[in-house]
Formats: sequence, C-alpha cells, structure tokens
Amino acid sequence: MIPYRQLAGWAVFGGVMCLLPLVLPPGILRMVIFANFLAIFALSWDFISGRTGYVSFGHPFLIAIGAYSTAILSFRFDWPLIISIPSAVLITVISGLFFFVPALRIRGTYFALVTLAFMELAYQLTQVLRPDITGGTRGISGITSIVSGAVPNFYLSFSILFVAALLLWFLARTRMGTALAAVRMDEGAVTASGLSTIRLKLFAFGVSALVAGIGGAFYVHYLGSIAPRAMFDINFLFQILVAALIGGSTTIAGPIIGAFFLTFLLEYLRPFIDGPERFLIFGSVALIVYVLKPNGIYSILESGYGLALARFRRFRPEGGPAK
Amino acid sequence: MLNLLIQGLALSGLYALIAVGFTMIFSVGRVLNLAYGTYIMLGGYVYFTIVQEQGLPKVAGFAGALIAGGLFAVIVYEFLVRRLEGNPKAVSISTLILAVAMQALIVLIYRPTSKSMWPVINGVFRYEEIFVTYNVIVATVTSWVALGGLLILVRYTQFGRAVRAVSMDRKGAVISGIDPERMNRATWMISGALGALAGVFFATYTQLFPSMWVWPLIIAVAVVVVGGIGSIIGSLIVAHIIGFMEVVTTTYIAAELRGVFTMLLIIIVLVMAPKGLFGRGDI
Amino acid sequence: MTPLLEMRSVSKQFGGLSAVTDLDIHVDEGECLGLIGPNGAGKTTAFSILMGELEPSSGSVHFRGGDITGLPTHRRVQLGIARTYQIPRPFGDMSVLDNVRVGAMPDSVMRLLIPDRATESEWNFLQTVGFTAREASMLPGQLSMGELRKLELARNLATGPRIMLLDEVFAGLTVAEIGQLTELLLQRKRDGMTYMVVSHDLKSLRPLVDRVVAISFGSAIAQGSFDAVLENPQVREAYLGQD
Ligand SMILES: Nc1ncnc2c1ncn2[C@@H]1O[C@H](COP(=O)(O)OP(=O)(O)O)[C@@H](O)[C@H]1O
Ligand SMILES: [Mg+2]
Repeated sequence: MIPYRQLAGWAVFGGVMCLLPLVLPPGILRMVIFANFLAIFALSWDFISGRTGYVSFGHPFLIAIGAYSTAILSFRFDWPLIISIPSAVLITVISGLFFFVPALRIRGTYFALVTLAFMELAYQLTQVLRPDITGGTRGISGITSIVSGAVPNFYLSFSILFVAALLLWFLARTRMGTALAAVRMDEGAVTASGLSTIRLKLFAFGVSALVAGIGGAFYVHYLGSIAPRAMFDINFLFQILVAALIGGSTTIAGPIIGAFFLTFLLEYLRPFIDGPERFLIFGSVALIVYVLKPNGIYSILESGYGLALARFRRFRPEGGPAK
Repeated sequence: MLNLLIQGLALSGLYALIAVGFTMIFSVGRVLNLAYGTYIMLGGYVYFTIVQEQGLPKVAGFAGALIAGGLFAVIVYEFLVRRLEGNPKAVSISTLILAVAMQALIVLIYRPTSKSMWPVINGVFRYEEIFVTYNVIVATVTSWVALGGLLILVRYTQFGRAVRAVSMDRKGAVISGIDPERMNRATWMISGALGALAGVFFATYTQLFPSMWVWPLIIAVAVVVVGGIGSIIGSLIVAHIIGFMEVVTTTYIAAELRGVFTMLLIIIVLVMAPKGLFGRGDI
Repeated sequence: MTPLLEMRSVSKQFGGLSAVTDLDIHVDEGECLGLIGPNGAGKTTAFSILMGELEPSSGSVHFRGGDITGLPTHRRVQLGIARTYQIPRPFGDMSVLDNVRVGAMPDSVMRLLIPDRATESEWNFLQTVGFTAREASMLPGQLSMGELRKLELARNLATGPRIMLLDEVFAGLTVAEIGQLTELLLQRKRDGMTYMVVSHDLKSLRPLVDRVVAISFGSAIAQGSFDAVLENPQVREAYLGQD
C-alpha cells in the first residue's frame, strides 16, 4: 500500500517550487527563501510541540545554537563550512537532548515555561560570556555565505526544506509516529503498553533539534550575520508558533503552508504598516484562526478538498478508490 | 549596606505585587496566563498618556490604568481563555500570541522608542547615609497595602470564600449556588487591575518600551512556580529571594547578569522540585 | 512453588493517609485471584504498586521470585505483567485499531522506524475481544464503556502478558457483555493466563476466581475460596459498614 496520492502531492509541490525562480522576480524570491527557513523551523517545532505535545517556547534557542556554532567555528576559527555546519548540527542535537532533560520530569505548561526561561537565559549569557567569541550584544557579521544570489539561495533553502519535510513525513508514517502521538495523548498508558516514554521523547527531541540545527546553520550562512536580539527573541518564537498553528499542527503540510501564508501576509502588509506593528494584524489573524479552527488552514483546505471530492463522486458514484 | 537592604525590600515588594495577580488566576483556574505581562505594560502606558501627555492629575492616571487593566483582563478571559477552557496548552500558546500582538499595538501607537516615565512622586528622602526616593517609598507602601487588601479580600470576605470554593471544587461550588463564571470574571478583573497598578510603578523603575512585558511575566512565573501554587506566603518569600538576588547581583557582580540567577532558579526548581519550594500544588 | 507475582509487606502512604498497610498478596501461575473490598480499600493502589506506577513506601514486589521493586513500568510490561484501569485510558485521537497496535509495539527505536501498517496478529487481538472491522476504525469517544474495557483488554493482550491485573472489569457493562467477557477470560485462563481481578460485582466475579483476598483499609482481612471469604464476619462487616 504505497501512498500514491501523497507522493503525487510531494512531486507537485517540489516541481512547482523548482519552477518558481523562472517566474518570480528576485525580490519576491527572497521572501520565499525566508518562508522556506521559517517552514523548516516550524516543522521542527511542531515535531515535538504538536506531535508529542511537549510545547517548546525555547525553540529559537535551539536554532540559535546551530546558527552560533557554525558562525563561530567558521568566522572565528576559520573552519571550512563543510566541517563547521555538520559540527554545528551535532552540537545542536546534543544541546537539544540537554535542553529537554526537564521533559523527563515535567510536562505541559511547565515544560513550556522552562524552555522559555532557557531562551531568556541564553540571551543574557551570550551578551556577557566571552563576547570576544560570540560578539556580545552586537553579534557577528560578515559570515561566509554558501552560495550567492537569490536563485541559488532559493534552491539551497528549498532543498533543505524538502528533505526535512520528507524525513518528518516519513517518520510520521512509521510506527514511531503513532507511538509519539500516543505520548501526547496519555503518557501513562504508553508506559503501560510496554514502551519507554523516555526513549520515545529523546528520539523526538533529537529529531526536532536535528532539523532546528540544520535550519539554523544554513540560515545564518544565508543571512551573513547574527545577533542575540534577533535570535533569542519572542517575536521569532511567535513567528514559528504561529506558522505551525495557522497552517495546521501535527501535519507536515500545515507548518509549510503556515510559513508561506505568514511570510506573504507580512510582506503584503508592508505598504500599509511596515514595522513590527504588522505583528498586530498577524497575531489577531492567528488568534482568530486558532480559536475558530484549532487545526488551521490545512484542515480548511482538507475539508474543502473533501467537499469537492464528494461532489465529484456524486457525479460518478462508482468512481474513487475503495475505502 | 542599609541602602542595599532598602533597595532589596522595595524591589521585592514590587515583585510580589507583580506576581500576585498572576498567582490569583493560576490558583483559581489553573490557567497560566502569559498575557499577564501586558497588563503591566498597559498600566504603565495608560498612566503615561493620562498624566504625562494629557497633563491630567495622577489620580486620574491611576484610575485609568486600573480600569484599562481590569477591562482588558476580562476581555481576554471572555473571548479567549473561556473558549479554550480545559486545554491548558492552547491557553498558554494563545495568550503568548496575544501578548506579542499587544506589543505590536503599543509599537503602533507609541512607536518603538522607549518613553521616560516620571516618578510618581518627586524627591529623595535622606537620613544620614540613607538615600531613598519618595517614588520607591510610595511604590513599596502601595505594594504592601494592595497585598494586604487582597489577603483580607481572599481570606475574610464572602467573595473570597466563593473564589476559594471555586478553586478547590468547581462542581461543589456550583451546587452551593456560586456562579463560577462571575467569580472567574471578577478574579480576572482584579488580576488585571493589580497588574496595571504594578505596571505604573514598574515603569517608573524601567521606563516604557514595547517589550517591557517580558521581564515581569518571567518574574511572575518564577514566583508562582518556585513558591508553589497557591501558597501566598511562599510567593512572598520567593519575591524577596528574587528581588534581593537581583539587587545583590547588580551591585556586586554585573548589571547584565541581573536576570540570570532568576532564570536559573526557575529551571532548577522546576526540574528538581516541580511542586515548588513551599508548594502543595499538582502538575 | 514460587508465586508468579507477589507483593511482600507493602505499605503506601499518601501524605498522612495510609492507603495500603503491610499488605501481602501473591498469585500463582495459572491462578485467578479476586481482590475485593469496599471503595477506598486500596485495591487500585495495590495494582499501581505491582505495576511500578506508584512507588511503595516500604515493602517489595517480586516476579517469579525476582525482586522487581525498582523496575520501571514498561520493563514490567515487557516481563509479562499488564493492567487495565478502573477508568479506561484509551488514546483519545486514535482509532481502536491503532490503540491496540501501540500495545504490540516493540520497545526499540530501530524497530519502530518501519512503515505503519497493521499486521495480521494485531487484527487478531481486536477480533479476540470481539471488535468488528467497522469498529476498528472508530475513535474511543464513540465507544460504550463495555467497548472501552474491551479495547483496554485488547491493548493488554497485545503486549503479550503472562499475568493481567484487571481493575473493576465489570463496571459499566451490560449483562450480555459480562457474559462474553467472562467467557473470554476463562478461555484465556485455560490457555494458561494468570489474573488478578478487582470487582465490585461479586456475582460476576464468582465463576472466574480460584481464590479471593478481601482488603479493608489497606490490609488483607480474609482470604480463601470465594464462598469462605464472603462468609467471613469481618468481610461482611466491612461491606455492610460501607453501604
Ligand atoms: N494519588 C493519590 N493521592 C492521594 N490519595 C490517594 C491517591 N490514590 C488513592 N488515594 C487514596 O488511597 C485510598 C485507596 O484508594 P484506592 O486504591 O483507589 O482504593 P480502591 O481502588 O480500593 O477503591 C483512598 O482513600 C484514596 O482516596
Ligand atoms: Mg479502585
């Protein structure tokens, strides 16, 4: 039983995205690049917060570990990117496991709070601890880029997104995906089914940190600079959260849709209001969607698709795959 | 040394006031309201507008701040929290989103630059080596009066008994004729007003800027989490631990590290003793 | 003969309250032990201690003679101990089939990383307890109490237990469902399954059990055959005093 329809969806998504540089001007392409990165971060967030139910308010912390590690290794110590990026990802995964140690004892909102405290802690510490390495409050700029120009960067960021999304999609379809969903619903009952929730959670955290680390490392090389206030920032967390929630948590398409929706919404608001006050509209939209449609745009699209399919079937009652 | 003690006491009193509104909501409805920091911000900005921009009397400033805080809190409860009842994760996520949206609203109205807030009362009290601004004295006294008033309200009035009944056993409270919705609205309103009151004084310490809500929120969270849920004495003690830690760090170590120990305290206590140091709460 | 599962002089305090006091319970391989006692006697607490979900304040738990007191719950399940809950705990957003399949999952990250497809044996667990293919795709929210109990039973069976601890198995079931369930349990018993069963429904418990332990205020007050225990004046008083 191969999921042909979903594979077709992936192929269409990949194909359309690959054609974008042919039709879009570089300015808009740069927005898409940002959307790609945001989608990676939102997917990483959703893998633990949505699927496993351990809401992380400290995700920017993980992303920043990946970003800072490769920035420092390549800029201060002149490591080649081919070594500094994998090292950064490894460092992120290891820190991710530490970051999530609290999850072995606490859950729910308390876990979210600890991760938020972690992020604020890291923010304050980067400014005072070894500013000669981290660049202190001003951060680091002049970080080597991997490729230059909008089009190559688009293809690079999209490939990372595509691979990460496929990986997470595959994971969600394994027995592991089901087990992680069970952790969200009732951890005690998972234990009573003979599974070690510690192992399951560590796996989920490791995967989430892996994706966050990869995203963060490539993102910093794309940006070329990094500063604590841009990284350990509630506004950044806010964008990640909202992308995942608006799009549709616990799905793979959802966070991607959310990231694109959000990026373009923000961009089209720019002529009217151009500062951070755009977050007002954006936050309001997010809250309305969240309260009315907790499963996000994805569920709206899905029910729309379901309706269309039902109408289609009414004309051809014998058509459609058997359930 | 004496100055340090006074500073510590003053800051701690303010922190206790900041935390108490948050604790109230938490102990009644088990709701972690991450929009709490915005009440504080709202209080500061409303007072600023009324007193410094419009030149109206300070009493009007305080009244405006309290009303704005209380009203906003009730709106948050009615339109957001009540609709997500029974889903604490959704509540904390959506109140956080709301807080960031409110921050954007402040940027829209007041621009991102920080505004300087005058002391509520000018002047410095001087006695031998002791220097204390009147503003600090007023803030501290107000904090303690508000805290005392709240304690009396919760412990000794009909309203307080009803609120405690709802927090202990909602169904039981309904059976004995208490309307939990009204109680909830009232608690949220008081919480909002207390937050706004704290916000006026907090702003005289830190100035006004759009992300000023984050730190008080963390203080409130720390006090509740470290002190233990629903333990008023625990909250007071922790407010003092945090306040003194901050004053000592600023004076003897480095001002930038002010928040580090508070954050470490939250993390360590949540991980080592999830029920808090003085708590009896459940997770 | 060493008992299959055993608790030795176990006590458990919740704050000042003594839920279980110096309690010894054992069950032999192939036996069905009934655990009776008024509400709050400590039966559920005893189960949780046997499963490692609660840590005893003192005393020890043994499986086939080996001390398992500190063993985490999932390791006990892997040894072959399973339990159901007084209030069923299904995975709420998952189909009946998936619920049962979680029970069958191996505790190994590597072996979980294969495509998620129901196997024949997983379907069999559902059929054993009497679910139809249509019911298999339903969500727990759509099930009756009887079906929820069957669901938990199937999830337990999927873990491959040697002994099952069943908490208030008959509560909320119709007479017909009680009949089916008894039949199923007895059949498994003939295949060698061991049970500990808690039930308030003494009439339904009777055909199932070989031996009964009566608990009151956390201590065993009588044990022996079903009839002998129910004749015991202390047991009668414990029940009458309560009702
Ligand atoms: N987690 C807990 N915290 C505090 N008290 C508990 C807890 N679980 C059970 N109890 C108390 O322990 C006693 C025994 O409960 P339980 O084992 O559920 O009894 P039974 O299953 O026999 O009805 C009761 O008085 C109950 O209130
Ligand atoms: Mg019980």
